Parts: sequence; structure tokens; C-alpha cells
Amino acid sequence: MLSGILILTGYFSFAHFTRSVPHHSALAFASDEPTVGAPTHATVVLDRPDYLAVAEDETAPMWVRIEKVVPRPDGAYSYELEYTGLESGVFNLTDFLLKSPDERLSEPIVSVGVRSAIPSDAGEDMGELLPLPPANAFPYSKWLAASATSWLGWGLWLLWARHRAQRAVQEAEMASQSEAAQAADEAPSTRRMADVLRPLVEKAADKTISSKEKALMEHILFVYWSNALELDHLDDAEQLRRILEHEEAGALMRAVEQWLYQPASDVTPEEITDKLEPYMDLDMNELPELAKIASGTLSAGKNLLVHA
Amino acid sequence: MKKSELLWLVFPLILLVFHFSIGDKLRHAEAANTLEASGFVAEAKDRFEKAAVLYRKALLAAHPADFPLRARLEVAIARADIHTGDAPAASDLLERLQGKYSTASLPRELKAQLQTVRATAVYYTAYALRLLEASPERWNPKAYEARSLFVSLLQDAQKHDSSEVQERCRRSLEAATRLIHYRDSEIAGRPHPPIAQVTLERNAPARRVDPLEETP
Repeated sequence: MLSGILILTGYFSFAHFTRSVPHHSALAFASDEPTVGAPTHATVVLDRPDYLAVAEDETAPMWVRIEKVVPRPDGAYSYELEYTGLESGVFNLTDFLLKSPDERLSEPIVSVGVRSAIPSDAGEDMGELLPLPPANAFPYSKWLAASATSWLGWGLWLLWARHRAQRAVQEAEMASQSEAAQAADEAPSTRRMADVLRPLVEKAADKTISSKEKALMEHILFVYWSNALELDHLDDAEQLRRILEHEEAGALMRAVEQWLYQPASDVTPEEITDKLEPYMDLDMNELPELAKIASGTLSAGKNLLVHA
Repeated sequence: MKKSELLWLVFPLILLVFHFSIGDKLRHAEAANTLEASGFVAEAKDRFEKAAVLYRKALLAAHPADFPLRARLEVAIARADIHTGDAPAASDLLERLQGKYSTASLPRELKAQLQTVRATAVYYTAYALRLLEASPERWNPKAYEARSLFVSLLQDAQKHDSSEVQERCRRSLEAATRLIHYRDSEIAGRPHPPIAQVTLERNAPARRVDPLEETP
């Protein structure tokens, strides 16, 4: 049994050993074979446990160390070897074991290949010493500058926000003021004829109305009612006479005359409002001629009653 | 005052506190990194003396407590020194570096680079010693040390790195093994690696590497 194993091991090792391999050629070896100087492990089955390794010599082509000898059930021994090729080539591991201090074992043949990792044209050059690329440092100065700039920008933004808020408040105030002004501006445009007449009538009720104001009031009423009653074809005196006689048209004029000349007139606001009632719904925008008279752009009113 | 305005006022104070604490280290690192990058460019252009000067300036600019950065720069200095022929100094520098600090906290890539540069420095030192015809007692320990460092590098690369990196380690290991294996006559008869030649030229006149060699 043992001899059979030894013969088989010997046969395969011999076949491997005798393959055609040029010395010192890195290309002829398989890439998984050990290279020169690289310690490699191998197990060899031998018949005795007392073989020794050849002493390591710097000039030897290979160093072999016996790491462990393990007995096998079949009576043989497994030698766990560590070998290191100092040259490239194919070697018999048992050449580096000793039967006795003077005699090498050499059998069975256990061939191992050792390839060269240095290309044949590279001489003794061990290759380039590759530098380690520098690690990317955190760009602190840029970060600091960016932080300072951001801080300044932030400050400017806060200032702008504050300014904007203040401006918004001012604008809101201005808007409310302009709205008020606009409302005030728009008021005359929507004012009624009663609104124009009321201050004049109130003054007449208080007997404080000037002759000019009284003439203006009468002029407004005269123009309005002569149009309303279609009295244009008549002369002024006839028109005035008919207006004064008319129940609705002459009501305010008659009342004003009465308030002016009665000795102790005590006219109430309700009375004034009542007399102005026919003029409440009359929009001055729809009566452009009257609006002009009221704003004084037309010739000053005449004291029609005096004239009459 | 609004919250945002209050925060705006407090912000520069926070920034100042940061600047004089963590920011200081970052500022040093940035300055050192700029010089290191310039050194790297010089090294890539094979201007190793300039690279060494820039790396040394970067080391001066680095924060005293920034150990990983200082270690990286010292490795870079040693790497440039090897190319300028000062492999023995590079070897001593990295030996001191490993003795001074625990390298456990370093990134694996930097640790591997430190080991590689140290092994290379030791290898070229041994090579120069052999070329100087120094006695085996002087170069042998260095050659074995280089080989041992390359073996551990290869074992580490086999666990973690690509086949390309492993092959580079194998090549270095083979060179270190050959240095042990060759006879003096073989060494003398072979073309020498350029760095070994530079190391020899730099150290031979003053017998800096092996001053006892001239002593009768």
C-alpha cells in the first residue's frame, strides 16, 4: 500500500519535474506558482518520521523547513514543509531532505516550480516605488472665507429685511393715507345735489348766507328746474315765476326766503333734510352744467329773486 | 430683536471658538496638504530633491498632534530620500517613526506604504553595503531584514490587495532574496538598480554607510 502511494507520487512528480521549462524564465511558469523568495507550503508523504531538512545556506537554490510530521493511518508520515526558492526553476523537494547527516533523501521525486517575478529584461530592479497620493485635506481657508462671506451676506439680508419691513409699514401707511385722500377726492364726484345745496341752505337757515352764496344756490335751483320743467323757451322772469309757483320746484326757494326774512326762525336739521329730499338722488356727475356752476367755473350766480 | 438677528450676532463667536480649536488643526492640515501636493507633483516628475524639501516644509506646517498626517509626510520624506540616495537615513527615519508611535491607528494603506518604504530603504542600504564590499556581518542583517519585511508585506497583500499589488510585492521580495543569494562576484557583475547606484555614489565618498570599512 505504502509503496503504491510512493510510486504514484513519484510518477506524477517525475512527470511534472521533466516538463520543458527554460531556466529563469518568468513566462514559462503558471502564474499561481510560487515566486523566488516567497515561502510556500507543501505536504509530502514519506515512509519515515526522522528525515531532516538540509541546513539553510545562502548559496543553495532552495530552503526547505520541516514544520510538522504527522503519522498517517497507513503507517506513512505526512511532512508539512515550507520551502522558499532562491532561484527560479523546477526543484525536487526531497533533494533538500536528509536521510542521515551525509545522505540526501532525493526519493520520491516531489517537483515544485519556482517562477521569477522580475521580468528578464529588468535586471535586479525591484520595480517602482509608487508614491501614496496625498489625501484631500478639508479646504478650511475656503470654508472660513465662505462662512465669513455668508455671515456678511446674512447681515445684509437682515438689514434688507428690516428695511423692507419698515418700507412695508410706510407703504401701508401711505396707502391708507392715499386711500383716504382718494376717497376724499372721489367724494365730490359722487356727491349729490343735496350735498351741494345743504351748506348753503344751512347758512340761509342761520341767516349767515352771503348774497353771493344765495345767488349761487338760486342759480343752481333755477337752472335745474327750468330744465326739469322745460321752461327754456320763456324769459328768466317768467321761468322764475313759474318755478316759485310750482309746488315741488319752488318749495326750497320759498322756504329759504321765509327763513331769511322771518324774525325768529328756528329751523331744525330735520326740516332742512326734508326740504332737500327732492335733491337727494340727483348725482352731480349727471348734471355737468350744475356741477360747473357749483364749482364756480360758470359765471357767478345772479340773485334771481332780486332780479325778479 | 429677532431670533435670526441674535443668531447672526452669536455666529462669529461660534466661528472664533471653532477656529481656535478644531479649525487650527484643519488650517495646519490644509497648509501641509498644499505643500504635500506640490511635493507629490515634483516626485512624479522625478525631481526627488525638490520633493523632499517640499515634504519637509509640509511636515513643519503640519499640526504637532496630527499624527496620521505627520506619519504620511515622514513616509513621503523617506521615499524621496531613497531616490536621492539617502536610503540609510530613510530607513532610520522610518524605524524611529515606528518606534515613536503606535501605527495601529494609521490607515491600512499608509501602514502598508510605511512598511514598503522601510523595506525598500533597508534593501537599498544592504545593496549599497554589498557594493561597498562591506563584510557580510554588516549587510546580511539588513538584507534579511528587508526580506522579512517584504515577506510580511506579501502575506498582507495576499489577504487584502489586488493581484497587481501582490505581484509587485513578489518582485520586491525576489529582489531582496536575490541580494542574499548572490555571491559578491555575481553582484558586481550585474547591472545595478539606479537607486542602488545613487545610494552608493552618495555614501561611498564619505563612507557614510560603513565608515569602518576603510579602517585596517
